[in-house]
Amino acid sequence: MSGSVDDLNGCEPNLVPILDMVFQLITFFMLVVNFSANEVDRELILPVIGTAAPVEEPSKSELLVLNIRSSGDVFVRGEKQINVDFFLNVEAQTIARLHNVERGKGLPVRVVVRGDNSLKVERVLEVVDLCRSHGFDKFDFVVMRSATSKAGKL
Amino acid sequence: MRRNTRRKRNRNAGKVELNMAAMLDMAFQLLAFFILTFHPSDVEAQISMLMPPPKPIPGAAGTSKNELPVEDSTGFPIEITCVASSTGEIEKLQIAGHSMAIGTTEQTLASFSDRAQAIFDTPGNDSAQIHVDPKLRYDILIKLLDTCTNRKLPNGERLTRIGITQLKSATAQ
Repeated sequence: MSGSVDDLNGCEPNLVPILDMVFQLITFFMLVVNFSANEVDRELILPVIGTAAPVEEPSKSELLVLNIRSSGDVFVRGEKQINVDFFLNVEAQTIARLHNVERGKGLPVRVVVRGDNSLKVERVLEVVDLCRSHGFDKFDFVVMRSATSKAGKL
Repeated sequence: MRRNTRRKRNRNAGKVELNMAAMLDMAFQLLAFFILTFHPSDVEAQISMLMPPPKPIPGAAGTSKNELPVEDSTGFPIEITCVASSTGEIEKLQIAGHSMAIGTTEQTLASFSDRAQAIFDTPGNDSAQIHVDPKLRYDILIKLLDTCTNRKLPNGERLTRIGITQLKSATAQ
């Protein structure tokens, strides 16, 4: 019987099962919490490619996530970068210093390009070429594997 | 009277009561926090590529439309050229000098895929240079890249060494 009757005037429900269920839910949400979600721009509608390879987890290299919106603006960690060239220059110098990378060698950081579906190639290649000129040579172009209500058509 | 008190005290001595309400309240607070900060993300995939920095061709300069860019493409034995229409669709697609028949994007890429497989099955053809019209839609470029990177080389690895350069956009059409 889930409760107890101390005396004839009152009864107390047994809170242990409720607490147990709540802890189960807390454990679930703690396991799926993602503190790096601000690197992903949710305004973007990514291209849909059903045959692309799933994202490798965990990534062995550090990642630099560039979100390119339909307007052509580049967002990094939730902030709009007015001068992309300057930003990439600073990032490249910081990474080279931290990892003791010689001049002319590729940086040990993967650039993750998340571009909106409606972009023209010109803007994407402009950003990619800026990255390459600063020493970034490993790129991941992120797409969606299936269309969602936000993504629209294939 | 004294005896009764002792018996009553002994009867209650082994019983420990814990007030769960406070703990439950804290647990609900934590649960509410995690529910509000939970953002399920869509299933994403990626196309991985190795793109070394461009090397300019000394003295190269071009002004005619659709001319190859001024980047050194030696080391990329397979040249792929994609010209776009004003709407961003594929207007012309060539691989290793062979022009593909143009239909819908899916049909064009399907025939491109078959041709590419035959080319990349040849040992030594392990990298490609894509010259792309800047007017091309990004999602079509991604499909083109996906088609290329899905190719398996004779050694079993995927094609990842791909360079992308822009074609000089055609002046007045």
